[in-house]
Amino acid sequence: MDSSVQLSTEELYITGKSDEPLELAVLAGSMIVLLGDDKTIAPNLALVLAGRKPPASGKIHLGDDNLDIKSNNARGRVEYVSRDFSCPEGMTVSGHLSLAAAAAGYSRKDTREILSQLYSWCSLERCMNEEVNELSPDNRYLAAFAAACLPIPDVFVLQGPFPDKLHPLLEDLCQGGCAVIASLPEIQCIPQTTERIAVCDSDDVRQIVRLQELSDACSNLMRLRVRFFPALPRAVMESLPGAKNILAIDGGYEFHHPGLSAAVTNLVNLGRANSRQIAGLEVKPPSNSELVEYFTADDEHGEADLFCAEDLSI
Amino acid sequence: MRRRPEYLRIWVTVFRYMSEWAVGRQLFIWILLAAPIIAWILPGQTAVPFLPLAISCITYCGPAAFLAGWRCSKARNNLADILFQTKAGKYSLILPEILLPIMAGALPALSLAALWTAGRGGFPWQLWTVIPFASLTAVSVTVLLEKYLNQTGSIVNLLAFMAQASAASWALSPVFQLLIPHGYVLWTLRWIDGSGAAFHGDIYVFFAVLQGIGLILLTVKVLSDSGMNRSD
Repeated sequence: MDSSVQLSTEELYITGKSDEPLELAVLAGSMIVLLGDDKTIAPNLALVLAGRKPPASGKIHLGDDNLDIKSNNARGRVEYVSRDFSCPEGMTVSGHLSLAAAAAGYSRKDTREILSQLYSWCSLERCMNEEVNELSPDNRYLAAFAAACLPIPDVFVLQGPFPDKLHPLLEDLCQGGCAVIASLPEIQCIPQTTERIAVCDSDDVRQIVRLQELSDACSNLMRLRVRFFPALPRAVMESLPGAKNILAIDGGYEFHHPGLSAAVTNLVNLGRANSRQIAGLEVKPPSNSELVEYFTADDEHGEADLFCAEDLSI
Repeated sequence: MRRRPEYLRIWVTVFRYMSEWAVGRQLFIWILLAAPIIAWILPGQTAVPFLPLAISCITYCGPAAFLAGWRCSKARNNLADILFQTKAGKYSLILPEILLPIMAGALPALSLAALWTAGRGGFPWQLWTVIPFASLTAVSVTVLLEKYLNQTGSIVNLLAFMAQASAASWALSPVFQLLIPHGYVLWTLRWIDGSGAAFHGDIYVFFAVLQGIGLILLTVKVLSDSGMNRSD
């Protein structure tokens, strides 16, 4: 696969509050997630990287030729998909995509051909004659995504959360050499094919981690909520191997456990041994602030190194 | 492979959604089209013949009614979101949103003017020029007034139109006749008719062209800045 840099930053400060410049390189065929809700800089960073919003300072370059993202030649090479996308009243999916195709430079004949492929790839065949604004949020997002695909961009910037149906499509894009940047509010939304995750707080990108590292962190930080019927005495619950920070909640307990499968096995055994049924079991993923705290516990504040040398084969 | 945007298809689509949007605001259109009647029936102003006033109104108020509120409408922002980021770029939207209101004003005004001049020895070249440029100025003034005064801008626009039809001495003064962009068509028509114009028709045409070009340059800047956060 082509491992050229599709998008890179130079001395980029997203806000005036950033401690260090953000040095980021997004490779062809890779997907990076900017993890953080609306209170963090993740959505803003996505807008900045898409060229939709100016940064506090610094530059964003496209491709190996360091083309400025704001130059006319960069037009159509970075596509941004907003989560609150809407169309003028009365515009159908086919009308919207035809307009986007005309803007992308497809002739009438090519438009028919490419749109039929796009409808089927994005599973939009059933709603091509429906009004975009009347679609379900998932299908509306898919329509916006389909329009963004038409110019065949090098970089996709997506404002999430987006529907699960999009995950395999993003995988296809990455396999085709596109770089994907997705701003997502929660870890549950992260596609499996993501390579790197930028953990953001309100001021800066605090850490860049791989999916496995994030998965390990979640295992360490997740909290389990269990409810027994009839209720289990706290003394018995405290005997559960590996359980830490046990808190009593309505009808059960909430606790930390280093391994999910071990915790479930131990809970089932505990219930059986005490003639209790498990009435409810819930896994609570760590919050964004817990993740930031976890990953920056040993680091000096604000030293996010997003430029992974091994990715670039340096 | 480099592809050129299909501008004609884009413009047709923008024309369609802009027309649908404008037709959906009928009350505003009626208020603006009622302007010549209100101006005409105001005491002391019936000295101005109705047909020149109506031609002047359609030239100016037609584009103004078409465009007022469009720049900050959701439909316009949505189209900008689709078009501004593409290869077609921002001019794929800006050009039709200037041309369509001009046509909405200039074409019916030229037709009416042809009727009016039929019994007056032909259609002078000044009208061919002053009407499109007055419509162009109407587009610019509407956008610029809205940009700086919001909704108040549309009211100021309407009141200024009525003022240009006034028979008051200040309205008939040479300075006022040259300054107020609403009036060039009316004063050119009155010059053709030989009633009340302070200057030769060429002077009105010259100022209409000058003002039309100057203001449209500012307007393009305002239109290209609106609709998206893109900073180019």
